[in-house]
Amino acid sequence: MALASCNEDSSTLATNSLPDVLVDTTGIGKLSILQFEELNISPDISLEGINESDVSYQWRLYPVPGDTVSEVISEEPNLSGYQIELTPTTGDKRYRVTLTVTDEQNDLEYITAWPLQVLNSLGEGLVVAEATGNGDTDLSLIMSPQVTAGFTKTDIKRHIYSTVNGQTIAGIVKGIQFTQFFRDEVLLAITDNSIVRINTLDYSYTGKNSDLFFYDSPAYHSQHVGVINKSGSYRFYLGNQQLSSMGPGDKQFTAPLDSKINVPTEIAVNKQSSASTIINFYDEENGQFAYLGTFFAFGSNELTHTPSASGQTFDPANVPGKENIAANAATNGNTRHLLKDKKTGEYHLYVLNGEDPPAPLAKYDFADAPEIDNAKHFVLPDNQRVMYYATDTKIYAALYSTSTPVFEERYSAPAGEEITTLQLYHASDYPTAESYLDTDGRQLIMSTYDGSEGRVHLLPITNLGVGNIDEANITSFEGFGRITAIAPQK
Amino acid sequence: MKKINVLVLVIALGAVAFSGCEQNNIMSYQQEYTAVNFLADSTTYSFLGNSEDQYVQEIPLRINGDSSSTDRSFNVEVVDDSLTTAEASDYKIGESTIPAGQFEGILPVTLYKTDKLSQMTLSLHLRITPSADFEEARIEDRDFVLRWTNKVVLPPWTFYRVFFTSSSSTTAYQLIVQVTGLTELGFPEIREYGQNGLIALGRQFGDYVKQYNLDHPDDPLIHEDGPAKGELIEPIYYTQSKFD
Repeated sequence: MALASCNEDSSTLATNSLPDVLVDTTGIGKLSILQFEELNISPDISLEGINESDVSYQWRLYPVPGDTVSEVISEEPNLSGYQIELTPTTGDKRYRVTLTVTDEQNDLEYITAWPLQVLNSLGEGLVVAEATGNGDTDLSLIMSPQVTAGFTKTDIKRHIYSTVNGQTIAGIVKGIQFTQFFRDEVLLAITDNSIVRINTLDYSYTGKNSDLFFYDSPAYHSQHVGVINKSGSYRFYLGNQQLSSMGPGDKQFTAPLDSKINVPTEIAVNKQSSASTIINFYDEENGQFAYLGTFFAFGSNELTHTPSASGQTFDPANVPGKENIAANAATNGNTRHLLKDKKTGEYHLYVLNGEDPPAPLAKYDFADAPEIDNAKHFVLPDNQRVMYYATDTKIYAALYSTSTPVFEERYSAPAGEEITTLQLYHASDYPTAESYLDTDGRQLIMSTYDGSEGRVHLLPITNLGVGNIDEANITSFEGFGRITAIAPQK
Repeated sequence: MKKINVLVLVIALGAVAFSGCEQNNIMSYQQEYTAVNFLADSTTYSFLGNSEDQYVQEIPLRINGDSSSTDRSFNVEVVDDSLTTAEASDYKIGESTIPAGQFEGILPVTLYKTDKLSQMTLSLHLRITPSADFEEARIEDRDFVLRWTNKVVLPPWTFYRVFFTSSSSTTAYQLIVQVTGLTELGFPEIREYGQNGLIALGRQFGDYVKQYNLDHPDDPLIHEDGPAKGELIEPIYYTQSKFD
């Protein structure tokens, strides 16, 4: 008896039965949800012999796969409207959600757990850069049938950059390029003094300035970021008036092209894989045109002044005293450059072919273009001989398919709205994709701001070559801040 | 007699049985058991790539026991044994505490880049000793050996001559490390950076050399040893549009 005195007394277990809690997970199974979607779980909970008042509920989220760290996300019987901001899961990794039902009378816990898979919800659409008002920028994403293949509804993910990263982008984003970076798809966003890389899987920040360059520059006065497709896909960065490239096998941008020629912001970029020259521009310091044949190290990868051509409509080696206003390349390789005379204030559109070296083709007098001195935005579509230019409130079309250009007003912004950006829509992988949306190259993307709210308007172009805008079918998206840049992403 | 033996046995068994049921209370945490320990036993710092004359090596520590509402100080002594080769003028041990509410702290030790570091490695044997706030540290975690050097061992120049400068020297190698951070250049680095990346690093190095020589026309960068001793360091790549 003395030896038995330490035995546990279990004699009452058989006579005092404890009530039970059953959590029926039928139909719930494994949880799989798109990032930024709301998680809702309503299990069928039966409290057999327990009063509801004696039960407490606790939903926990384990935000690190395989770890025990957790946070309470609800204390209701059903989990409702909890927005998942966790980064998408990869491979076999899963987050975990648990429900603990506690029988407070008997101090018993009933725990049910679900693995949680988070999928990427940030697909093809328009990345919208919005000024936050304190000198920073945030990013949102518009997905809609006009800009998203196979999408039938409209879905706007707002402020995703700050939601994921906990902070905004320092500076005002003025240009964005979507591109492939090894296995990742990324955005390269530029401000006046930086370039930032963002992974579009979850919009996480992955690097800035010197992180992206083998050759570290003392400053990153960014002007342009883009892609060309000759000899493979090259990402290029124009900053400090110099061009740097990142070739197909490069992990960072290489050293800038070694040249005494300063590169302006307004450059004509030929994205066609068949391009003879990839970048053409007007060199303001030397009053002549210049071009680049390729970024490929074993090609003509030196900035070169366009040779003189006597007896032509103009001599590309002798165009002194001009200021760059806008430039772009056409689908046939021709490059168009809108220049303003620094003395007379006259505007002319210069056209060169895309050969190596380029040769002059035409020069159009834009002296009769209404309000062009007030224009802030210029668009030179690659698929029509039309130039759009916009003042704060109006869009004009300059038609130059004839020797004397014709100028027509095409659109007036809604009353009280100021136009803040204007561009032609092309998919991010244009012109190398196998297929495109019908809207590709056939709609203008315009953003406006009324002093308190920013809007994105998609303006369908009805007649290529004339540039008419189908005002009856404009699509608008509201609820943004002041928009500073827009770019397509996949 | 037999009855007495049985009685003794019963009493003895009863005593054992009752004593087996005695409850042992779990010992609670007591402030006086708090100690501070090193998290590692040694580290080595190289001044290679550091153009400054001194460097502050931060040595992490962690306490056992609970945090405190006030800053707590700890004592560290230099053990004068064969592990300590540095003299007092070669370093300076900074003051530090375990901050209030924290479980970890940093011991800063300033290391001076003296001339002898080019030829040898100095070392310092540190030991945590009891203080007013902390008991003696765990024996296995109370000692730390800090080593530092500025010795340069030249790597094979096979690829350096392609991307940086044709002749090997300690001067050139130190400059390459200082400007680019590249301490080795073999096949792994070629795969990592690629040809374009290494040309970019080469140009970064070349631009530094060219700019230095422009800024110091009477004291240009020369190879201080090696096969081209006394000759100018001539970079393979540099921004020609700027320096030619």
